[in-house]
Amino acid sequence: MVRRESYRGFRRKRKVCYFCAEKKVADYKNTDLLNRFISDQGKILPRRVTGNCAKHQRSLAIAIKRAREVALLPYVDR
Amino acid sequence: MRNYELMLLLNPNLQEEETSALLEKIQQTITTNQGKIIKVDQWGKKTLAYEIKKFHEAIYVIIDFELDPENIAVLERSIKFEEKIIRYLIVLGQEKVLPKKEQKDLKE
Repeated sequence: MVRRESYRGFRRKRKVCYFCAEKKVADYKNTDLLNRFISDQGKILPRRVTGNCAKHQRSLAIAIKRAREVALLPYVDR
Repeated sequence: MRNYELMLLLNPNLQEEETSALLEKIQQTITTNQGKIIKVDQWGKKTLAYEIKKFHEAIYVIIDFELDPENIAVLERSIKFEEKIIRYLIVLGQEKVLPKKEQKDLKE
């Protein structure tokens, strides 16, 4: 069976977990990196947006929360 | 003995001598409790993401050290006693948390 081309030929690129690809671990001190995974309101972006794997999303969330504790990242940013 | 990482946010109005005296004191609390200092990293003044105790910036210092888990409470008490420290965070050092396989990956 031939698989039909997806809708109107538009195909969403499969996202790869950044931390798996780079073989890095999220660190609460690395704000430049963590900044890429928070929204402009300061919220943690969901996995469906970032494409991270479950394991690394968990460690990322912990890192972001630690960074918030020491005021490296905001809790709310408006 | 376990690896720990201590992050301190100090009052930004401290003089350099006061800062080093304070750090010396903290390091002594660790060493007198059979701990070992691995690394002290001073980031200097940084703007805070939000206000803490009416301050908008703080002096960031990170101390990597080894200490018995029972003595962490002692260290924590001495930190809380210090008014020049506006915020602190003690976390387990990353090396010990990672399984061996990933540690190898990191070094490459």
